[in-house]
Amino acid sequence: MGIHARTADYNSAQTPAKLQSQAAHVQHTGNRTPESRALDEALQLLARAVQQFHTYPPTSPLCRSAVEACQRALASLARDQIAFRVAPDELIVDEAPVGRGTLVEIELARRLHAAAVAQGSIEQAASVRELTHFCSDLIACTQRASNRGGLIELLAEHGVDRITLRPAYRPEVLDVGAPTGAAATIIGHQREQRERLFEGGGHVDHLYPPDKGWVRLDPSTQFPSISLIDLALLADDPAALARMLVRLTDDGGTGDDTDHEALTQKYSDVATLFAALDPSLARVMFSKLARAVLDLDIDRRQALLRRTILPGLLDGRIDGTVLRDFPDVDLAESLCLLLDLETAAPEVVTTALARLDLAPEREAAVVPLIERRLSGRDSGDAPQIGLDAHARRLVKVDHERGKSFAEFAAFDLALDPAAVGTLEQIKDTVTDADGLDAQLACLWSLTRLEPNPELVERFVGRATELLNGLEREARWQDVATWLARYRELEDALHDSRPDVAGVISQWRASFCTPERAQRVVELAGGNDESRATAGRVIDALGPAIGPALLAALQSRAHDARDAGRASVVQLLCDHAQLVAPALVEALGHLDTATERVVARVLGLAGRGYEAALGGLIARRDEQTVREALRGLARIGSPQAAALVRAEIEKQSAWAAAAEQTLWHFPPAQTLREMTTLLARREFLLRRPDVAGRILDRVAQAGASGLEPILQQTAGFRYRFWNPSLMRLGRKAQALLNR
Amino acid sequence: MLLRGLVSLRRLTGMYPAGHPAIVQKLEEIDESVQRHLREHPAVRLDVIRGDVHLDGIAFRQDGDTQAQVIRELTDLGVDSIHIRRGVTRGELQSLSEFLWQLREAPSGEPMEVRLARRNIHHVSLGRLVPLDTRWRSHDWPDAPSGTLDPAYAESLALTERTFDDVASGKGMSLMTVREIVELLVRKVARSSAALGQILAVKMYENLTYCHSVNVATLSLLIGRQVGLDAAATSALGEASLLHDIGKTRIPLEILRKPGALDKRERKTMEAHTTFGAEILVEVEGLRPLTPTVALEHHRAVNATGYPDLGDRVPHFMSQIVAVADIYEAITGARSYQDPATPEQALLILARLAGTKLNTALVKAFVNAVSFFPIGSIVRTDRDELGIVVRTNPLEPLHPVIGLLAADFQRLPGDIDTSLRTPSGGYERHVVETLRPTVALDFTELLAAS
Repeated sequence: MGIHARTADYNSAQTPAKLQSQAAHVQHTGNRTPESRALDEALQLLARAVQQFHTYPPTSPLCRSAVEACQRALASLARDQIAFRVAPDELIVDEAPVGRGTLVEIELARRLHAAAVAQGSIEQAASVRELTHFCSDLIACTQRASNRGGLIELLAEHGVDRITLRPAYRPEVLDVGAPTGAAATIIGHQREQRERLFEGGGHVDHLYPPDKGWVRLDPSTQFPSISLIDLALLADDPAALARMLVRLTDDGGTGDDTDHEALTQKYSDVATLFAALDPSLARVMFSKLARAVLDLDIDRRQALLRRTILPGLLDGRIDGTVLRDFPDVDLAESLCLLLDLETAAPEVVTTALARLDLAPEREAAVVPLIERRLSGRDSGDAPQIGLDAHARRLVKVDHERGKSFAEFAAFDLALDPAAVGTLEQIKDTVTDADGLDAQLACLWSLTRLEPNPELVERFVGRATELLNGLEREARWQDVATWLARYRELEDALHDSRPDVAGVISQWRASFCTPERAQRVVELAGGNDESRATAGRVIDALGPAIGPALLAALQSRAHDARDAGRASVVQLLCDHAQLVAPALVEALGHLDTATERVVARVLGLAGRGYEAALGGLIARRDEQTVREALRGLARIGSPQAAALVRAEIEKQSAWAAAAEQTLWHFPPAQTLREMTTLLARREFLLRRPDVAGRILDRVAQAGASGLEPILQQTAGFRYRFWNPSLMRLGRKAQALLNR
Repeated sequence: MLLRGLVSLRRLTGMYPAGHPAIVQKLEEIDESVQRHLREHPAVRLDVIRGDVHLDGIAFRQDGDTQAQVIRELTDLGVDSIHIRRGVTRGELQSLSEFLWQLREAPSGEPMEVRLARRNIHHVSLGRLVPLDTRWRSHDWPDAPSGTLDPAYAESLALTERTFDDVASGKGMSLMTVREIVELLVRKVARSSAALGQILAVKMYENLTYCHSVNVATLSLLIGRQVGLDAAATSALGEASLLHDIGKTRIPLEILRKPGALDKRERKTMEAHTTFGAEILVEVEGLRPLTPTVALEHHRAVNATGYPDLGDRVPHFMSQIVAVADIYEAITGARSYQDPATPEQALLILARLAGTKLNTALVKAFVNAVSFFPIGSIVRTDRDELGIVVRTNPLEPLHPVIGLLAADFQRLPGDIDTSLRTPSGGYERHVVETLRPTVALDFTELLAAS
């Protein structure tokens, strides 16, 4: 009891309600074995974690520590898993109720029940990540506003394998109301026929899930049950029927066009049900189906025709029957869609027409319409002979006498030169298949699809071996390509699957070893192409390569003329932005020669590194300082300029160099900084020579707004005891007079 | 709670006069809870299904006599579903309770909707729930081919069954056995006319995964031969096609063998066999590099549709070969609600799928591998000409060279190449059927005349 209270309340602040709820729990579990108590404990902690997720954002430390506490409790269980059933206000574990009146009821049982979960199991080895997803997904799917999928789907989407849930029985109530008297008679008649069919023996199975559908009838109707065929008659509308069928397989959408979508999805089943009716009744229903198909928006209709109806017609399936009820114009237009098939011969239309078995007068009306459409298409596709003539010839075929090949006329299946060419290409591709590349492609795809980071770790682990293989074969281009693809994948998954993206990121970082960097440097030392490839490898590896390249540079610090060193420096400079963060981090631990290179690279990296370069100016090594000043000039930002100006102002040992550097900034920036300097009386008094030089150049550059500065400086012309200052004053006066 | 409230209101209505405080109070309670529910949902749907009350589709099972009593009271009236829509007023709820009280006393054949409307109840509907009978006549096909099988084919079936069982039970895959099966398929089964005949023909059995795999592998090898693959590529193709469906070992049997429509969740699980397959195969050391790729891609179409979602990536050619064989095998195999298609129908379906789902050249290669008109076949053309096939055209499987025959099957002078085309590119003639002459013919003589 005591243990329970202590561990459950890792968060010390307890409210009276919490204590009351625990008391109820403890009372309830008082007579149970230590194992049952440990199990209750784990569930209580899980419920508490769910509560924390309900209250705080998932990234909150409270949520994290709640999940960790739960995981510890799970790990300490003597059993492999907790298997439970869900009741509205408690969980049933080992046939014993758990949690009524406690957090387990509020946070687990009620939520799971509302999420239509019937039972589940949590493995002892469930990870923190999996428990975190369980808590956040449970909250997400039970929040009313959430339009996301069910809990089971969410867990699958997040790659949670060690928590498995089974859905509760969820019936679908299909409302059909009261049939009219005539409809009731027809249904009665159909039922008799159907029963006779089943009485005849033979195998019977379920076309749709049994027990799922319940038909809501008006209480005045007396049918003891409703069959799918009855339902077709009761619905009396193909789209409404399709919508009911969609609900039976949980495929329902939520959009405005649900009826259209349902008909597109369940067209074949609707046709199958109609075909099972009496022929006369079937004809009526098929004509309704035809109208429903024609009512679909054009894209959906054409898609349905191409995907289901026309193939059904060609394959002799019931799906194609509906075309008989199309008006002539629509029929002609629909049949002409067949010509879009890649292997279709012009005869495909007449073959399809023959399949419809239309009355001669109707066929005579349709053929000209088809011909008109065909002539409107590419003239090359139009059959040379009249369609009616061809159709007549097809009619002559006696189907009973032998195996018919008439319909093959609808397709051109000759191995023409194009097909032979493609087969050659296939042969070459399959024969010379690049094993490493193919395996990497497969692993990359699996990584892209897999939501479970633990599995992804295995996939990328395999990819490492393959990339090493590519490297051994010196296929650096491919290495670069694959690394880049993984980097893109990491970016793409960053928001949707951050944990998977994290695994990829870590894996890519693990690739950035000093040895690999060394090999990339060697590659970069080759010709232009090799250098470009090395650049691509570095780009693909990302910032994590920075420290490794730095190490490579340091290992060659002793010889500035070393070609390898030059290659590293060049690589660092070419990828300055990428490696700069790592270089900044290393500053302070580098030798002078390396610092010089770092100063250069940081200058190339651009804005954001001014402070680091400013720090390097404080070094004693002149070359490093000059490199840092050059770097600041290259960056050219106001912050960089201010740093250089400060160096002039300070009259440091590098003031002259700083002065020179300042003139390499963008002109406007330079003039602004110089004007600022000249406006400082202190500076003028201390460095009149430098100020005079600056004044000359500023004036030559035609800086505007100098007048107040000149007026102030001109006052120095009477300081005869300080010739330098006097000269500065005179210069200012002369400029004023000008 | 709501259902109990409604039933108890009905009782109160029968016991006390209208306007009695007990009725008013209960009505108030019910109205409040109905309106609260309707603020978040379009309707209150109370359905009693198999003794459980479902509110908006979610079951609320509560053991206890009160619950059972409430349900019984309602179902005795022939009502087990009450749906209340937005806009319902307290007055309507009161009229409903009065109606329900009187319902027992005055049964009627009149539709309930009309009776409720007569009492100005327009936002409530009452219903009776009956189960939807989804039974459908189907075939019960045997699980595996019966009769005498080609010995090599039978052996490969047995070995594959063992391999798949091992993977399903978690024992892992024996690379040796896989190699042995591939060897058997390449060297014997794919070269045996008897085995090929059995695989190409209509299959009067429901294909279990291992039978299907062996058949697909054999058909893939047939296509590979047409393509002209060398020995190494042929073995790789054999292995990949044999194991393309290995992921199905991870699919629950109840889904794998479910005869009717799969629901959304089941379909997703079923589709996952491609990724499961690739996951299994990437872990097996020593397999050929493309084997996992084919398992992953064999349901992807050349127009980059299908599953799993691999973006715009067009499947590898080896996957495309296996896809052709896979579809042919599936169509010619038996299904619960569908008779198996004949080879000719199946080829027509492949022809239809060429260019969108399947690689056109591979479909043509496959069609070319099938002998439609062996030499000596008696055929009729669409010009009503009777002929005997005297020669096949290697690139035109459906357009052989025929020797003309008279109506009495006497040989006429001249041969006709049915593969000749018109200037517009169409064929001059098509063979439309084969004939089985009832009289004995001297084929040697007929063919010798060419």
